[in-house]
Amino acid sequence: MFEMLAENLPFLLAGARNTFIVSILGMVFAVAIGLPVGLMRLSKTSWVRSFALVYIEIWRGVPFIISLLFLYFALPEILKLFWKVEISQFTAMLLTCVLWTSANAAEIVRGAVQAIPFGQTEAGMALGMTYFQRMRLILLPQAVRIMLPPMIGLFTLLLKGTAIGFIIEFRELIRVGQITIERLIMVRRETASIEIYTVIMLLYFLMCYPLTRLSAYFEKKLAKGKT
Amino acid sequence: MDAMIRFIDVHKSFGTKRVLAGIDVEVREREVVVIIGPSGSGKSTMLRCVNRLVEIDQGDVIIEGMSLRDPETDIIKIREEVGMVFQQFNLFPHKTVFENVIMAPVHVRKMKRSEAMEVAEILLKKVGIWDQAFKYPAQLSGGQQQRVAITRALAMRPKVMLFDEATSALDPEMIGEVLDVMKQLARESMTMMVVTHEMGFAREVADRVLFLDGGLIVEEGKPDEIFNRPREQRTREFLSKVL
Repeated sequence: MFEMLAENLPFLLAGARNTFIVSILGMVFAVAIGLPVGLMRLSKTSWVRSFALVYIEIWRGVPFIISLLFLYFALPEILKLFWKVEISQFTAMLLTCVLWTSANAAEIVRGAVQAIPFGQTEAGMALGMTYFQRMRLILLPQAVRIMLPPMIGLFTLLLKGTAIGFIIEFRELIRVGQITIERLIMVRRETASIEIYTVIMLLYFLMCYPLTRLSAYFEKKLAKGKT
Repeated sequence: MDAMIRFIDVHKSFGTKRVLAGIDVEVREREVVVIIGPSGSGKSTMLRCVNRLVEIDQGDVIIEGMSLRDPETDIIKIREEVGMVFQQFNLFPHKTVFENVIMAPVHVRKMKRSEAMEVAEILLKKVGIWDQAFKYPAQLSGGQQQRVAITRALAMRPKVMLFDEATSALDPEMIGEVLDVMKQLARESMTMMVVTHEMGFAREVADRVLFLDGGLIVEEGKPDEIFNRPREQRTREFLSKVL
């Protein structure tokens, strides 16, 4: 049993690493996009607001798996008409992560900024601050505290969501798990699926649990800061 | 003396509700103008027109020769010169008292940080909050917070100060300490527009009192005239309720 694990764990960990990398990168880009989109959602200019709304609703509304299949199988066909590019499994996976997560991150940003009392904005205006100064100095520093727990929650959803990558052969944790099981079945190890899926569950848990704790910590800190 | 702020036939509606129905008034340099009137009479809205927290529908407000309706006017320049104090203080809760005070001078006035810190120290000492300077607003009493809010506005070296019911959210025992700071400012010849329910303050400090009702200035005059010999029936009725 331990021998089998020792033999296969490095391969599984490589899968876990891919899962983690695509999730982290996806989250970083998603926040970078979600922040401006979330703020645009609160713009005074109606077309800016509409643009953000359409972006958010599309990428929140389309199932993860469809955008993944589209980006991996359909998009290259379209791009082929213009120039020669290939979309790797990793790229398709990352793009899908960024689209879905940025739309959700934008909603978190909007909610957090909206939760700041309007008096803060008025005080900033009365002191002669521009929109960007008010955002940078007053609203965002306060909003970040509110955003942290739901952002961490979003990240764990994303991390688990990347499991869907197995359908385009992206070598994340699930896919390498399947490969491992198939290999073991060939050498007549009948209990392989029990063992490997247990290990996979454990690995997901190990990745997500610290994040859940972190989120709980920030939430507690936030509640304390209010009084 | 020249008019520092001039309201010219200012109209404002929120939806179908008319809040200002043609305000015409001048505030001269170094003058303390106190605005009184029943709630919903448009006092706060009138004040907020000055720094364009409220956009006016019709008419104009001229501040030091700059028209608020002129598209060439840089509203930031006006707001730098117009300090405002709010009923709810609106201090920045994530910053210390000290940071609250130096933020705008540094980022808006582009003052050197060391210079802004000196100004902040002098002003905070003057309003008696220097010993609280490195606490967060939530750790201060309401009266202290409002004194910080006044200091924050003063740190910009404004030419005019607007007070929007600055003592209305305070516990009674803290109203005095805030009014004292405002009186001190008036003695130092700051130009002030003050919306308040504190009739004692109006009587003592105002150079001129405006009585607003239904979005119009019903009566204006020296405190003695308004409080002791009001000409208008509506003014008399209002004063009989609040005095």
